[in-house]
Amino acid sequence: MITITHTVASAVGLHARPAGQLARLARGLDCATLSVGERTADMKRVFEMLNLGVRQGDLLTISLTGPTAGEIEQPLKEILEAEL
Amino acid sequence: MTTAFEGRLASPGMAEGRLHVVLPRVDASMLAGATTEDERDRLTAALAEAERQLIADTEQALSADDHEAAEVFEAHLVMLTDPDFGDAALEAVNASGSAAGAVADVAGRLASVFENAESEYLQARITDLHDIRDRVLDALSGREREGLALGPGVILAAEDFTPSMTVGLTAATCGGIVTTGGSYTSHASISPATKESRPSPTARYRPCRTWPIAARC
Repeated sequence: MITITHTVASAVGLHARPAGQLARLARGLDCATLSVGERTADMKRVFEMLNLGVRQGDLLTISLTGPTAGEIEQPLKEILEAEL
Repeated sequence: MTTAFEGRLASPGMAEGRLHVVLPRVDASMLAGATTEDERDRLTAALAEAERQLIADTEQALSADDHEAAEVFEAHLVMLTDPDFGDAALEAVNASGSAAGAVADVAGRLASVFENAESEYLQARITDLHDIRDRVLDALSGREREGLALGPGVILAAEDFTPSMTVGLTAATCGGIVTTGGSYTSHASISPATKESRPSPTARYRPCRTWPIAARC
């Protein structure tokens, strides 16, 4: 399992475009979750992620499981840096 | 006789020209099939058609070097294929009895995700959800997607505009956009000419989007 943490810098928090990008990447994995505090969303489901109400300053923890998890680690980090 | 409406500008400028009012679509629930099984089949076909359209629109936007539009369509595709939308709508057919009713129910439920968001930006994304919903409803009813690039100077008016309605509009194909709803972060405000600075997202408004030609709202 790969775990990535990221503090949200975007003023509007997690919004539709990056949520869509994350979901697209995650859909090839066995399991991918995005957590903030005690709340966790399936990263394959964009509405579930948006429902977390992630805001600027929140600490995100992303967990990736599956044979191709390593392949999406770098593009996922690039999305986090560019969009969040 | 002149009728004047007051509003607030989403961008500076003036427009003068023919007004084209975009009316709400018909209620697609009027077109329900005979059985629940029929409705599920119709919805499956409509979801596939909407997916095909979004892939085609994305490719068309990319070939026109409009990367911002392509990102909008790609985000819509992800939402359309999200289990919380398509799969949920197919399940909801059992309860509502109609494909269109199921789509409307699920879209309404998901809209609450955006409505309850603290961010005004996210609240404005309800139009994205409505855009996806309407695309599926159009596919269900067989209605062609309406092109709004009607010509130079034409002023478009509606309650609000969904992203796919404003994508591709330029000063050459539209004189201005007037809405009675929406926000400064609506696609009607930010999509047609995003190079310009965005107005304050905290203000209360009735946006009027214009190109450098003319406009009054």
